[in-house]
Amino acid sequence: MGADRSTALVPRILHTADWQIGKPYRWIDDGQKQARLQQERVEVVGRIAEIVRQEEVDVVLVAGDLFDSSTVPAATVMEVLEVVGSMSCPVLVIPGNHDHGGVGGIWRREDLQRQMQDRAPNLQLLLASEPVLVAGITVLPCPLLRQHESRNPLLWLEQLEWQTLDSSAPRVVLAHGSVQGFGGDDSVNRLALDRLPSDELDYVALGDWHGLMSVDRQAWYPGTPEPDRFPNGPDDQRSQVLLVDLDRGLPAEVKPHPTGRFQWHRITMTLNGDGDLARLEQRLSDCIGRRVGRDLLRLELNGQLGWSAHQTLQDRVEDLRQQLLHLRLRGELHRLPTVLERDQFLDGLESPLVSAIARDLQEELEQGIDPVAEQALIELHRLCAVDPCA
Amino acid sequence: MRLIRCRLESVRRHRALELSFAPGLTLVGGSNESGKSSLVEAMHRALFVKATATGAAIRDLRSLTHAGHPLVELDFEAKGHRWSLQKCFRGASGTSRLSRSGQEASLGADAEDQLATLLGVDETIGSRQANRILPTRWSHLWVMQGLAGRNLLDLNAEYYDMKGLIAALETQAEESLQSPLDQHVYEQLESLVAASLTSRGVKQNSELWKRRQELKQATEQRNEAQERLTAYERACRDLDGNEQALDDLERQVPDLQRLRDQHTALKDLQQRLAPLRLQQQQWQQELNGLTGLNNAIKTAETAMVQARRDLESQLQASENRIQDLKTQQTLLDQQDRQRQRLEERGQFLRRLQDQQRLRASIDQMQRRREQQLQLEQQQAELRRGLQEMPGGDAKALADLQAQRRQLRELEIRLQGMASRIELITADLGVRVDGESIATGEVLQRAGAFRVVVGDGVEIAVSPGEGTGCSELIAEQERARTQLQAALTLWGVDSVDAAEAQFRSREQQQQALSLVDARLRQLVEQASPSEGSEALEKLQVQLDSLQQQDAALPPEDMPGETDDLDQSLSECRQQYRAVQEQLRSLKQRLDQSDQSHQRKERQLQEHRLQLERMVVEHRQKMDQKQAIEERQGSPNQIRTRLEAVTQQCEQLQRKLLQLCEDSGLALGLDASQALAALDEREQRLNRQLADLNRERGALLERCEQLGNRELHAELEEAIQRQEVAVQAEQQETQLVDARVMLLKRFQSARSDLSQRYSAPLSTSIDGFLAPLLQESGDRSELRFDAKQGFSDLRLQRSGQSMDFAQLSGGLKEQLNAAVRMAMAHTLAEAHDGCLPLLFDDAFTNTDPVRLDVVKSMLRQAVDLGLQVVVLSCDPDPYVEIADHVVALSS
Repeated sequence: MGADRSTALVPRILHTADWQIGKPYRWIDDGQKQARLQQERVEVVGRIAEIVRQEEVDVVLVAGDLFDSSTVPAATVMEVLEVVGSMSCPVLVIPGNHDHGGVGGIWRREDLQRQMQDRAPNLQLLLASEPVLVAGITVLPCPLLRQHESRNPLLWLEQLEWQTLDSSAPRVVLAHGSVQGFGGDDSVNRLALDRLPSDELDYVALGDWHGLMSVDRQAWYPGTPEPDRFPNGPDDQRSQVLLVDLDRGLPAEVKPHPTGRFQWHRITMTLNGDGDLARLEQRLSDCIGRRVGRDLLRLELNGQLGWSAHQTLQDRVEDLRQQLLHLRLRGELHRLPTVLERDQFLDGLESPLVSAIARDLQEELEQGIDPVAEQALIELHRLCAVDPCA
Repeated sequence: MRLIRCRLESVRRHRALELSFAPGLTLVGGSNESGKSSLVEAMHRALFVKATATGAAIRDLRSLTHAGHPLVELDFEAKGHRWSLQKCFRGASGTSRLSRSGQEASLGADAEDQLATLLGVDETIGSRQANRILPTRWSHLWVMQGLAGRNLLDLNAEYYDMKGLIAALETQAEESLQSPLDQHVYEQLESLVAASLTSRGVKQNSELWKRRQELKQATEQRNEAQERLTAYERACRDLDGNEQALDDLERQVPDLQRLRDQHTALKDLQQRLAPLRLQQQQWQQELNGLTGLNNAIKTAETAMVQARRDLESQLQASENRIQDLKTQQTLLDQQDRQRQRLEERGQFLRRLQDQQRLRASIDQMQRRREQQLQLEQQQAELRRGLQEMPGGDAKALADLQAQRRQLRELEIRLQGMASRIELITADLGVRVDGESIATGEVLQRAGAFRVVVGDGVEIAVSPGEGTGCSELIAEQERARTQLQAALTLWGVDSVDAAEAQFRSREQQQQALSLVDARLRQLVEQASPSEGSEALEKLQVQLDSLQQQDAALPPEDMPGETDDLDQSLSECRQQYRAVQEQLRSLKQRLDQSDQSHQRKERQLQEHRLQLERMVVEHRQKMDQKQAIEERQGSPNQIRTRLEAVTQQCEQLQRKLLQLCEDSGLALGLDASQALAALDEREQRLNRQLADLNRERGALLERCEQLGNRELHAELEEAIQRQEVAVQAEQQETQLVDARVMLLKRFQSARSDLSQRYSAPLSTSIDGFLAPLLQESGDRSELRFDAKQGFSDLRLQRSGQSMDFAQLSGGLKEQLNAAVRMAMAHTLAEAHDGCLPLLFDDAFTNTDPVRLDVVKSMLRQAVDLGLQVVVLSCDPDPYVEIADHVVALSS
């Protein structure tokens, strides 16, 4: 791709969804970092515009959830519409569940409607379930007009008289919702793809699922262009749009194109000694390297470390907090002094009671994990350490 | 610390008193009111109360009899030196002076501080503390008067210098029990836990409390955010529902309009069609009526012709039938006549038969009369014979036979009673009553008899009187006479002859009975009428019958009776045959007659029917004429009907088309349907208005709720809650850890208590040794790091007794031992000596036990302790005293 397509015979679409502009990231406690994450969702639209230009895309299809909610700040709305307006091709948008087209939805906002006309005349909001012919493609939109739609949004296509459509134009269904086997709620916004005549269709552009996923040969979820969640696994790809070349009656040619900037990582490890700490360090280095302020990490640590190893880890975690956009710590990591640490603590400690209690606690903890006993041993250590007589 | 000398001035009853103390045991004796306790209290206050103190404790020392303020001088050894203490208690201006030999004296507060240091107490006591603290000082060394029975270990630790005791015990222990660090950590833990928890739970404003408050707040905020979001989503959903409903309703409006138009068109068509249909029906009816009438007239005419023809043929048939009837009647008459003839002949034959029968009856009657006469003759003869025959009846014969039996019985009895004479052998002739008897002959004699043997011998034999033989002979004679008389009556000579005569009589009687019976039979056979009259009557009848038939021709007269019967039987057969024919003929005639009657009635009916047809035909002709005059000819009507039908069909086609297009039912009542539509439209409008109102409210609510970033707020609240949960968990864990540590410390320290209480207990047992007889006997006490020593008990003879349960004497002895043990333990920190003082402390101790006490006191002295004993009865102690002071009252 990227080659001159002025002579190309088949239309090319850029399929994207779930921009969720205005996503607040309120769970990030640092306001500045929060703002950067919010801003990046607008920035990625700029990068999509660049791809549209470079890849000579004929039409951009946004399969719902362009906005995160109905309360996106006007400035943000303005900014994103400006970027959309900069794209040189039509941008066809259907409302999704976050930005549904019904009452109370963002698309009914008067400021947005005004800004759309003013800044993004190429944006076509498709609110009616009827075929739209644009740039040689018949788009069959299935907009959501309410947040929880219990009717199948594809229903109208089941009654469509396909012979009335342009027989040469590729046909693209544009829909937002979950399909059988994917997604959450079973009854809301459920798309029954299997009831559609696949021969009459060339591509189904879906939205709602935030990872890249191919439901079948002609139905795709592009995932969100800028990730917004920690990945659930290596297949959970969240930073791309799809470039799709379409020809009526031929298989669609689908190519993902990366768009994300911030990286979201998930590391789960069990630490049981210095060796594990080194491994963790390696994993961190592989994931994040020396990047500052561009990564979010969910770090789940389990296991048990000695006091000093734990302290080393704490120091590293503190550094990470500064280096990362966000660090989410999970897991149960226990602290138990090593034999050496215990000896250092108890040797030369002229206090028979403390010694006896510390030994008991240590023995109990070696038998099994007890967070209170563990904390008690640490506290005992602290109290002895701050004692001027010690 | 050892007391050396004491001098008092103006203390209660003592104007001036000076006494010295032995290093060992000093006995201060004196009767009651001699000032022993004043001495003790003055020394106690001098040691522990500031000279400047005021209040009851000091006022109490003042003398009521001597001038001046109380003054106490006390010389003692402490910290390796000899000290002189002088305190003059005069309120705030009281003085104190403490001097060490060869050193400059300290005065006032300095003196007090120095004194406190020497005594090992925090400070000397001021006025305010006097009441509370003074009794605690040295109460583990000095037993004040009246307190010897009080359990020291029931009091708090202040009363027995617990800290000093612990320190002393620690230093005596082989290994360290608790280090200063332990103590420090323990105290830290105590204060940390106390900062977080109280006995009632989490302490207010503690870190844990704050974390919990924050968590509560965060949870509330999260719930609120969740509720707001839920409310918003619900409002949005409601709004969606409302819009959907509005949409659905609005979509119904054009449908309703279309329906209305269709219904209106339908109604119009139906209204136009209705009168045309009515007219069409009317014309059709007229036409049908006329056509029907014509047809009916034609049919009636045909029917009439047919009916006439039928009637004629029926009339002919009727005449034939009448003729036939007549013929039948003639035949019947002939037959009847023959029957009459046969009947007459039958009657004649029967009369002949009657004549014959009558003749037979007359003959029979005559024969029977002759037979009767014969029998009556026989009867008379038999009766006569019977009357002539002698004898009686069967009874008389029976009497005769009885008399004979009686006579025979008498003879048998006489024979039984008779003498038996048998001649066996005789060479002479023998005669009995003159009658000779041959050899072997046997004779019987009743009564006296004579036996003659030969001629020379005559024997008279007489039976005895008692046998009754003579009576029997007399009776026999009577009977024989009677029988003879009876036989005479019968006319015979024996009974057998009488019996033969009786049998002959009976035979004659039977012959008579037979004749009687035959006579009776004859009489019975003869009918009642069978008299001479009857015979005559029969004869008359016969004569009349013979006369009746005399006229008949002789050939008709059958000869014999058999012929007569046969003739009669034949006649009857003929009669029956004729009779049968006659009945059959009559039946046929009746049937024919009935049939004829029936046919006649039918004929009549046909005649009437024909008449009716004629009338009806005339009416129909009139009707037809009237219709044609009114409506015109059938052709004219048909033309008009065709026109109307065409119009109807056109309208019907339109109607069908409309119904097909609109899906309305053909038979729908358009007016009613329109009314229903009106109602539906009104309802729809009302619903629309309601929904619009609701929509406004919902919109407002959505906008109001949606102004906030609800999802974001919830997200933030969840995050905050998570942080708060984590913080609270951490703090809870920290507090739990501290509580756990504190408990473990307390537990460890309570393990130590044994190590504190054991040496003290052993020491007490050492002093009490003379009282502990068995091997298991010992004192018991418990140590608790917080509460100090407690639970003082004494185990004796296998029984553990609480202090309170002990006798008064034993309480005094145990108390003394506890104090000696404590003093011994503490002494090391006080140059190896502390003064023990007992003020009348063994008043409940009996003389025997007093020896034990004395040995305890000596033991204490031997261990280096100083002992002062004050007693109103000093004599028993004199022998153990190193120095004796006698106070005079």
